[in-house]
Amino acid sequence: MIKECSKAILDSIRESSKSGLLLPEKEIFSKFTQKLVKSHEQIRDDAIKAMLDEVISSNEDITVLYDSIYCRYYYSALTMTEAYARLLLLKKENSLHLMASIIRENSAKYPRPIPITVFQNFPFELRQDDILLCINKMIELQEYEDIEQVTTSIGNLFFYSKRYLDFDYAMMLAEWEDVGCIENP
Amino acid sequence: MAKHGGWAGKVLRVDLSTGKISTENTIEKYKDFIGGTGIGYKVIWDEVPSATKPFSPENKIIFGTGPLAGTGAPCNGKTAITTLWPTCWPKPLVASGHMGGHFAAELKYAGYDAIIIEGKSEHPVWLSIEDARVELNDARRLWGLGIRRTTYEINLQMGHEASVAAIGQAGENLVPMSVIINSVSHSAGGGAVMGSKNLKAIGVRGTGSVYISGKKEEWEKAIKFHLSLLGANNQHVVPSSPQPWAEYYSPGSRWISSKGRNWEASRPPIETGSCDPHNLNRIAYRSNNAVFFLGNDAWKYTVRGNGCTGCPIRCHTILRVPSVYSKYAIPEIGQNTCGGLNFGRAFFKTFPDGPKSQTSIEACMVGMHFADDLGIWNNYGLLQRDFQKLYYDGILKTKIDEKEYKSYSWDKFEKGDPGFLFELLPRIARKDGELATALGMGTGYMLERWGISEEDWKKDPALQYWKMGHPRHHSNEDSGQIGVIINTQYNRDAQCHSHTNFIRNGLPIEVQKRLASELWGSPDAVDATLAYTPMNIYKAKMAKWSLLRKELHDALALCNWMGPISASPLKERGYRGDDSIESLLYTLATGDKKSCQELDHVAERILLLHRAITIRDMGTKEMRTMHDTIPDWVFEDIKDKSPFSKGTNRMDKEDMRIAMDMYYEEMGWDKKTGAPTLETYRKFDLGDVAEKLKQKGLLP
Repeated sequence: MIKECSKAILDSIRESSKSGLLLPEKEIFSKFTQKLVKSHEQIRDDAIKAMLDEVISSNEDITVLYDSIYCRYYYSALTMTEAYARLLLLKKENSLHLMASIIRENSAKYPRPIPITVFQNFPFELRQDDILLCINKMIELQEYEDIEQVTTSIGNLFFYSKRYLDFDYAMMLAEWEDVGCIENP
Repeated sequence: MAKHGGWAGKVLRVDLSTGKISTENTIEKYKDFIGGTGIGYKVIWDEVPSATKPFSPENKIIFGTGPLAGTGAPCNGKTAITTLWPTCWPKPLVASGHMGGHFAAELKYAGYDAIIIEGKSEHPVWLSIEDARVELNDARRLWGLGIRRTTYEINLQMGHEASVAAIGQAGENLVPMSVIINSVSHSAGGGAVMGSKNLKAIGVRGTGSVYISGKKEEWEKAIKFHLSLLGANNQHVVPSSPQPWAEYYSPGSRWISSKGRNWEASRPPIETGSCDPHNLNRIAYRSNNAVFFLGNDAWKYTVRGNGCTGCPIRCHTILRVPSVYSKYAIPEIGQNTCGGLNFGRAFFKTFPDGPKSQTSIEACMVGMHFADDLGIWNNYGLLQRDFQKLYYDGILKTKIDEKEYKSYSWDKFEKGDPGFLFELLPRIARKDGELATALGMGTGYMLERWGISEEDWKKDPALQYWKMGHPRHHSNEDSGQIGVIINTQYNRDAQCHSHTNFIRNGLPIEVQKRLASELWGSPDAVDATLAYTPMNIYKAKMAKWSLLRKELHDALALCNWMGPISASPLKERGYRGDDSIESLLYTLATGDKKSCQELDHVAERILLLHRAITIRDMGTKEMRTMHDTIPDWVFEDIKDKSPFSKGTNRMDKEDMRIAMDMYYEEMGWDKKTGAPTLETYRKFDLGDVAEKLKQKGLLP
């Protein structure tokens, strides 16, 4: 029974990742406690925890992430990257924090400002009004004071972090991506 | 002689003046130049005398494929069309265009690596090639028809499997800005050269195959390996939005597929999905160039992607836009990519509903309908930029008479009404009126005709005019000095994508620098976009590599719009591509074992021959000052930002002087003149070429 359950937990995590989802620990508990219904609740929880530990230690691809209140989420690195898993975790939490993280990461790593459409499209799928609301809130909060915006010559909004890009650089990069790349195919 | 794979083995020669049709042995005569532009340049050097005019019967037009055309090698659909280029100003010089589609494969299956067309027919003819049966046919009934109808008529006769490369009315009327098109939308310039020879079309149907020398299992393994390294169009190796499998993404990537993004005009609609790079059966779903250029609205009109032989990328998006049938009475289906897709849209500064709007999509449909049927070339968008400048700067009014000026609906043009294209484009193809005639001549000749200084065009950054009648093509905007060097080298726009495909691949700058270090010897070979650093030798090496791989691809019949494979989407490979994929495929296909360096050596010979023809036909060795020129706007910035500061493309004149020095040194060319030295010609077995140049005083 234990072995079957462990295998089922492993499969669930891998299936979730394959579908582009993190598997929250609470979902694992809820699903698998029913399979161990005859046992005492404490024993069931302990058994599932033990099975999860076993799944993690025996399968290199299974990884755990913690959210801000230390809830655990699982994914399989076979079909999901850490970068994407972290992005999903951010998406579950604070939209402001999500947007700021994405904007800062893009400004630092590539470097580039990113268009508003990134947040409108999969996997963020935020409405334009909500994005603008977030940005307006950011302006009021000190922890987001580095987040800035530029508008390209064809009217599209791009965001950047001034920790990594100055205005001129961000403006030219946005213009290049929005207009230049299209005119120079 | 040992049997070679890859090559069909014969080059077809058709003399339109005499009607004589003959063949010659590819291996004996052209193997040292591989194929494609290599054969083209060899023919022009050997057989077309200096001072020949593009529309003279003495000019030749060469349709060259290569040893990988018609094989299973990915992206093998290119036919290089080489001739004296009629828009090259002030003097036509050798150049080539690169036509995708299925013509190259059919030609190989028919048993030919290339076609050399020479002379001039007394009356319009079309050439039919059905394996060994090659005939000239009367084309008087086809003369005056558009490319679509011509193709249809020839396919009725030869069967639907035949590939037809035809010219439209623009080519017939000797409009220099004209193209040859096969397979609906795959074009290359040179339409008017065909027209000048009274050659309306070439229909080709082959029932043979291409022999592969290597073992079947090794060949199949190589193909799968190559496929595994492919990204999306332009070898962008990361998706445009975060995907579960992806570590990186780039909103500027052409890898657009995603969950929830559908080809909505398919019946039933097809979801493109996440497209994990390990799933080789999903490569064709990654790119959608209509969406890339026109925005998300284009999903609803997307039927699917289309493309060339052996290419899973399918960069020509097929669109079904019902409104254009009711509004303009044109077919609701259209297909193309990049410049062809944007042909109509690019004429307009604005549209009533925005730049990526329903009207802009309709302008694309109208533009494709005309350009790909009349056979008009856009000179990499310069036609449209010229037109806007002429109109908005008030130049047009001064160059054409009032009656003609009033015959155009300028209110429609200003409003962004695609109906305006019905007035302009057919007139260009017919040379109807002063404006249409001038536009059809190409920029250089138009400026000369109207007494406008080329310097005025060189000063305006919005025009992106480079030199000799042509615009920039991935210059400083893509990779600083590397792009500038590349853009100095050709007699038309550079058409080199080796560098831009790397720079725009979507990987973070740190990863790009790591790959650059492996490929060109130092991370300093590449800079972050718009954050350029002073010239260094590694940039010169990257520039040379970029040019050689372009020439190699053009000779092998591979698509330089999809290569080289300098990066891949595979995290487990550290995003490395494979720099030797061309030599792996070439060796297996032909049985002629050549390393990556040995193939680059052949590519350098081809580039060198192009240089030699240019020097011979320009009649000067002063290439540095007379040919490899850089327009003023490269050294300017709209905000007067200094070179090498972040946020500018501005180059520094002294730094570019050093850059050209380094490039010439890498190439073994004389730094003072920019002309190759005797030793360099000899190193590439072109001693006879050097001797002829020496006799004319054209060696440094």
